[in-house]
Amino acid sequence: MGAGLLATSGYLFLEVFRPSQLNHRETKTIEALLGTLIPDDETPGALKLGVSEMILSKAATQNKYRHIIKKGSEWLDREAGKLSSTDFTALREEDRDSIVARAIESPTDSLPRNFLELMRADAFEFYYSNPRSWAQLGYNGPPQPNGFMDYYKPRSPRL
Amino acid sequence: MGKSEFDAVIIGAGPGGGATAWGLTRYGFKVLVLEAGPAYSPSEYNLDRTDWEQSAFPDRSKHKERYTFGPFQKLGTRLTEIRSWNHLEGYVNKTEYRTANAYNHMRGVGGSSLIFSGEAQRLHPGAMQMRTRFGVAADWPLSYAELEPYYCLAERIIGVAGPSGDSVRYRSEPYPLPPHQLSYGSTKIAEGFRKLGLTLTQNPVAILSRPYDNRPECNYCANCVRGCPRTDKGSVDVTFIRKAVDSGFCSIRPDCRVTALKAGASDNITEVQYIDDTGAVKSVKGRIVIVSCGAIETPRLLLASKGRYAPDGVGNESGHVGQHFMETIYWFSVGMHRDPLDSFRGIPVDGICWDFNAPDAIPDMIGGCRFSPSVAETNLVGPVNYAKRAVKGWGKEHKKAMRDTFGKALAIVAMGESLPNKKSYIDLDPLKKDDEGIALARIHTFLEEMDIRRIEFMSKKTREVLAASGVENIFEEYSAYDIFNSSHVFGTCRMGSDPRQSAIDRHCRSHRWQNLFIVDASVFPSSGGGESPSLTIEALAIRTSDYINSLAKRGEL
Repeated sequence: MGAGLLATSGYLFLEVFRPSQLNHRETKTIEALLGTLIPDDETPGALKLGVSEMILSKAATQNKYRHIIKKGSEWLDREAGKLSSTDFTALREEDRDSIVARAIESPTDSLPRNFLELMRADAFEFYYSNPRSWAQLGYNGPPQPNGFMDYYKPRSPRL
Repeated sequence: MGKSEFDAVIIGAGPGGGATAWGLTRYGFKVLVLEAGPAYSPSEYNLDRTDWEQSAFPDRSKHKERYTFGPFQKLGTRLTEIRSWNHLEGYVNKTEYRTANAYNHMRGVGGSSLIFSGEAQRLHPGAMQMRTRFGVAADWPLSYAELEPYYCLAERIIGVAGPSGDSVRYRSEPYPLPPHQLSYGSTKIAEGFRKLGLTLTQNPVAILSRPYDNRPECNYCANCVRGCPRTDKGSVDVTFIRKAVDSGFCSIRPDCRVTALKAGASDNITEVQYIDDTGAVKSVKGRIVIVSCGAIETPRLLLASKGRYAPDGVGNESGHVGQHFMETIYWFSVGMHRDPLDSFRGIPVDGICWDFNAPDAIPDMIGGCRFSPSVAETNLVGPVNYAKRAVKGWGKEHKKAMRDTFGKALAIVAMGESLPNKKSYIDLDPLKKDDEGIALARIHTFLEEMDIRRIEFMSKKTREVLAASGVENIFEEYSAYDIFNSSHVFGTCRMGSDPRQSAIDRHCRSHRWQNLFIVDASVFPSSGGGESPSLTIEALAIRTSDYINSLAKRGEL
């Protein structure tokens, strides 16, 4: 009996931390979120620089990461439903922004806050480590092998 | 004592161990260096990768858990203005107690010089007599004049580039290399100092300003802390250790963790026990044994080496091993300049303000401090950190703000004297042990009122200088007041002339154990006014090797 209970609870625990892979709807919701965090303007946004593929790839192999993404995606769609009776993907840009703002302003350690901070950090990390994002900043990295021999001069004019 | 396999067994391949190894091989001593961490190749460093910013130094040491902390002091409520904060999350430490980030120590051949910023400053001579002058800490049992020739030797080996004209720190010869020009960003900070009647001068650094000793000049990538792939930074592995090995008299054994010193009946260390890179238990004999593991691991090893002849730990006859712990008293402010600067270029800490470095230079306070530009040390040298830390929000506004602000960050670090007190010490954790069953070092850290007042002074002056430099908004500040985060630690095997008041003598030799020497910052009787310690450790190490040679010549080893 005791062993059975232990086995059952162990099974449930593993289920929580081996969540199913992201379904189509969750994938689309995350892509919409990334497009909101780093949209296209005169320079390419997150989706054009492959940020969603990197985040989805990470989610495919890391259970806890996938778990929070699934819960976060659910939260985004639930908030979208409250706002416009639709999914997050179908919202207008300003409505997506308002939901992202609500998540960021949620209490510390709440699900929406943790989820958005994680997505924000990873989206920026993947986007700004892509050299295609550097030209808009006038950044001529990486630091090596060339270094910055003009270090004592005013900055170079932007391209 | 049985026949020794080596003339000297050195434990630790950082600034103390590496420089001692080189010093002894000059005289033909057969030296073995046991290093707990791996050997690194400069080709391992990641600075040419597009994801370089996500990679710190590629730490491959196998055993990460090394220390614990004792209880932390409660923070006062009147000093909220010197707490660590950033504009995204408010207070970094959200508790009412002081907390810890890390003891920033690197295991590996080269030690913490692998990740240092290259600073190579001499101690202020006035900071070496703190007991006589101010009744605090302890006096150094040797003078600046005695150390000066060894400073010169160390500077020649590592290749220090520095300016002339220091009227406080007497030099018998010029720096081996001309100073680096300030980066464009640092010239703005220099203007700020000047407006306040202060001076920012070029910082002496072990970073080559021109080719030297078969190493190339720096190309100003600003990322010394991630490991220098060019070898222009004078870390110990590419300078002292390289020369010691090239002599043919020195063997390096990486990934070998020393577990105990065996003390014998005749006041000698008879054996050094260690676990080698395969996990096998080994021991080795040396005519002399030199411990150079830093101010936390050195007392740990000595205290853990209890035995019949050393019941309180080796070298701890007077009870001073582990006591007098001094830490890094720091303050960082980071803000955005109004103009574009591309401040991610240059060497990491290229300037220094010495105006408050003398131990009596800060009004109504004992102990000095120094100020430096330090945007690289705050890690704002690439787009990812700007996006995550410096620029708020998301969306099109965030992208626009990134374009407007990237390269505008400026930072100043202040570091000050740390005064020893009864509540700051290292002991052995009674519960936590490493993989080999050796108790971990436990760090007890406590800031007294004088340290806190010094941090207040450093914070105010830093903000004034940044404002005068054209920085319009400070968005991050980090403080030793509420977060222990130390790379420079000192004092836990204090040197002195009186065996009742110190662990080792003026030559870094144990008062009791005749073949035991300690050479690292644990021997410092006082910390100095914020100077980085590695050059002083190296000078002490070379001096110690000369002394050991003189003993050998007299047949006294």
